[in-house]
Amino acid sequence: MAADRRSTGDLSEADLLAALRRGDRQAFTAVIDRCGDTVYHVAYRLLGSREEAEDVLQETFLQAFQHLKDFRGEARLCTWLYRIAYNLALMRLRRKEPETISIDQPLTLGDDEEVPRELFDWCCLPEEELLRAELRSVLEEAIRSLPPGLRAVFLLRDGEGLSTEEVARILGISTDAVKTRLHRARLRLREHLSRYFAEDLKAHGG
Amino acid sequence: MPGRCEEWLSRISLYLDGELAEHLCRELERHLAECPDCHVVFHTTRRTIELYRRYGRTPMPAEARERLFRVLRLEDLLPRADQAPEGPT
Repeated sequence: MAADRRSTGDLSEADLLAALRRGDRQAFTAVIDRCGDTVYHVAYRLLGSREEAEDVLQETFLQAFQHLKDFRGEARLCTWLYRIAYNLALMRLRRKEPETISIDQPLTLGDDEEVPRELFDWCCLPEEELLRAELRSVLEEAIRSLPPGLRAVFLLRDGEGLSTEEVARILGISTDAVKTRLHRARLRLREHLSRYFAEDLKAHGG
Repeated sequence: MPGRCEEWLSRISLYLDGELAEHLCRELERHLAECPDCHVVFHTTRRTIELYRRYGRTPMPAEARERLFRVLRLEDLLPRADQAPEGPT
């Protein structure tokens, strides 16, 4: 019933966990409602395929619900689920693109790789103007162009609004590494969008 | 871009996240007001983040959610088609 679902959705972490451990099925749906979108978002952006993102989504919840006893409550339940999802996506990514990284190793980048080059000022253009420029596909392309180690940080911090500490826990890296990667990711995305807007909007007399 | 600008730009993420020390915030703001290039980089970076938040997220599609419920044998808890959806989907 709708009323039951709402009340399960309002449960505290501790009550929710207790309900899950009792096998309360409404509690399982509450966890999907709380964490499902982020799990899907991260898997989709890391793997670039809706089918694979859905596989990861299902595997994540199956694994989590089967291994609830392993959850020690040191982090939020969702954080634990995101970590499972991230690791599953990473395994697939490595299988698909074995040459890709070392996602969890320190990134070695050229010294000037994040130096801003395109200085076209599109920041304050009206949104309709930017939307005309197929904004969504430009964003997709920009995010795909990031190395997965930067992409994951950006998705979780800026896309999902998780804290630095939470992202560090999910990815198994230090908070300093999260901050550095986030900054690099932002500058690279900015550069990508700026190049695009500079060409597109100038061409259209924007 | 001069080295000094790079140094300032290396701090804009901390600034945007409210993690830059107060006195450095004031100095950065002063620099942004004086340096047109850094001004552009700062504002387009902030806009990049805003745009991704608004248009880049991909929530799980309704069909994926239904299939997830089936896999977990929770399908009887899916809202029926004749029920109004609760909240944003």
